[in-house]
Amino acid sequence: MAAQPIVLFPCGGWRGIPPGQRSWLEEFARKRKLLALADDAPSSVEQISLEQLGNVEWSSASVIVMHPAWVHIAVPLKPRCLIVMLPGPEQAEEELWAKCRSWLCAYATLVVAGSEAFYLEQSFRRGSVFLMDGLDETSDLFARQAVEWHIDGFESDTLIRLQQRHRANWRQELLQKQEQAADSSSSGYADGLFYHSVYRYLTGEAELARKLLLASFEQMLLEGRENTLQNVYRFLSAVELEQGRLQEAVRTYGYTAQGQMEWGYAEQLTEWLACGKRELVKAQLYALNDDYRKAAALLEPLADEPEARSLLISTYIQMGRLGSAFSLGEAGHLKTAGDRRQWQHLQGTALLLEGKRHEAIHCFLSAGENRQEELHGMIELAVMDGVARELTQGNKEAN
Amino acid sequence: MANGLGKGGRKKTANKLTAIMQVRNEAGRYLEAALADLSGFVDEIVIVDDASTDDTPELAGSFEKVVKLVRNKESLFHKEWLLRELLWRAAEETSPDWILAVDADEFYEDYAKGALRELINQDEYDTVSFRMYDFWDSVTHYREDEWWNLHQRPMMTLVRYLPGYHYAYPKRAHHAPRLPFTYNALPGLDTELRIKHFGWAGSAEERQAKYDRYMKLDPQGQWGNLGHYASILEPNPRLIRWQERDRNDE
Repeated sequence: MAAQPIVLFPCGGWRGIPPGQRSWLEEFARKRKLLALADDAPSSVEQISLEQLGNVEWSSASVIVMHPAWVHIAVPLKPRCLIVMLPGPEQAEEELWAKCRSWLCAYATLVVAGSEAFYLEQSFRRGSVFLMDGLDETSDLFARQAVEWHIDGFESDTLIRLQQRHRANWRQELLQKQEQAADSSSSGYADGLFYHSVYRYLTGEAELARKLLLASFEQMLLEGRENTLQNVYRFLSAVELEQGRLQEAVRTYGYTAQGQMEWGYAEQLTEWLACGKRELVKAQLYALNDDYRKAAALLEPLADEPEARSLLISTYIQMGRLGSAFSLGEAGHLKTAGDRRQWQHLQGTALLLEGKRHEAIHCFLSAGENRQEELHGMIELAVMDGVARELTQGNKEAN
Repeated sequence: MANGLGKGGRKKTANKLTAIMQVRNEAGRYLEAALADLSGFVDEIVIVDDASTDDTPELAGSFEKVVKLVRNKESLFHKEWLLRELLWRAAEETSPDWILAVDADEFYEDYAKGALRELINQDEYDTVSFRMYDFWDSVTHYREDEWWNLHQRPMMTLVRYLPGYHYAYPKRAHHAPRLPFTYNALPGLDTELRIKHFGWAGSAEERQAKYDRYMKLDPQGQWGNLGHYASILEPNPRLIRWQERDRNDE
């Protein structure tokens, strides 16, 4: 097993890798065959160029990707194991990188998130997600162990649950320390309560999640925070779903709805509920709470029904699972020319991720229909190509 | 919505308006007038009597629109948030649509009363704020100065009751808000509609007695401002004559 290669797609040469992860990878290289697309890789790591990627036996290779711009190169290789190890998004991250991040994570076999917010977002989209943010040694250890298990061909479900529980307890201890220090008026306390609530939701402790969520909501209101109804209270509807309280969940969402689109969702939920379409109601409510993973699980068995299929397609797109979305849908049901162009654009991206670069370009061009401003797909592809090439260089940082 | 409800399931028509009030030894003051006034424009009234030693509960119970009267055997005056919660739970049991939180010495101007049905039969907002004027030394003038300017900012007294919503009061022994603070998250409307507060409209002796009570309850200014307490005894406050208005004034 040790002979199976691991190919690293870095985030700006070897020096661009955060120091903690770099030393861990160097240690890794002593036990396993590690190759890196980095012109400044140390002697223990074998350098590989973009042009040499075709020489690797990918059916037995593992890949570690550290920047979203690699998505169109790493995903089509179809390695045995695709590990995505990304920091949390920077503030005001460019839309292109946010999309690439989403697609990359969707196609990965394992995601290791560098920030808590990113970790929780991914936990609501897929399984096999770990957090490695350097704040808690034990927690980081679970993530490193998971990487090794995946490379060795093992699942990491047990470790996921262990890390979630550990992290929930870690959050609890932090809150208790703040309470003992009478520091509960600081903004970190209210956010801590919210994060703790989300962990308890993930670990299936719905009643505790509910209590923590409401405490967080109260604390944020006492601090005069804005948009708490949508940003915090709405999540109560997801917790109520977990508790089997469907009617209450629909009502809670309705209280938090704002603007025509959300009022429309609230109305649709009420209508579906009245018609007995309970699974659709649940799936939509999970999706409206960004828990696309649970939404998709409910919708997949119902995919033959038009309403469920339509909701499943949009859920897959939100999850970054473009291939799954296109296996279900056709552009014909799309109402406006803009919708159809967007659909073709996404189809082009799905083809690109399958490694069908020429078909993807054809799709992007069709979406453009000779309109310069609609040639986003082509422009984005050129940017991704350029940045990926720069990421191999240790003396440059990706823009 | 298909079920006749408005945005987010909010009821847009035929909403019931329920006034809620906590009282204690109010029989010889404005309570009778306040309940008579409320009976003219609300649908139901819910009252918690906080262990009055006079005829307050009998007086309150004599009004037809008082549908629920809870009588405390022991006063919760020193745990005001519990008193507020008790009143809230009592109101919840009457299945209200909208709740108007009133004190026994408050009177909505006619113009405001006329606007109330329009304010509650809609689906845009869940709270309504008014302007509270502190009448001073008489029922013809209100006070306006550095310490007495409550009417210059909106005060939430009217709220939609949303079943199942999370309602909470801050655990304050005194000066607890009259409505759950979790309403602050919901969409609200600030109006210029006015409420007349007659709590300070009595004699100088009554104000002195109130001042003495505040200083006894809160000598360190823990729950209120000591400067504000002291201003109660100001010999020459700035008073402005109240001008009644009706809808034609707009």
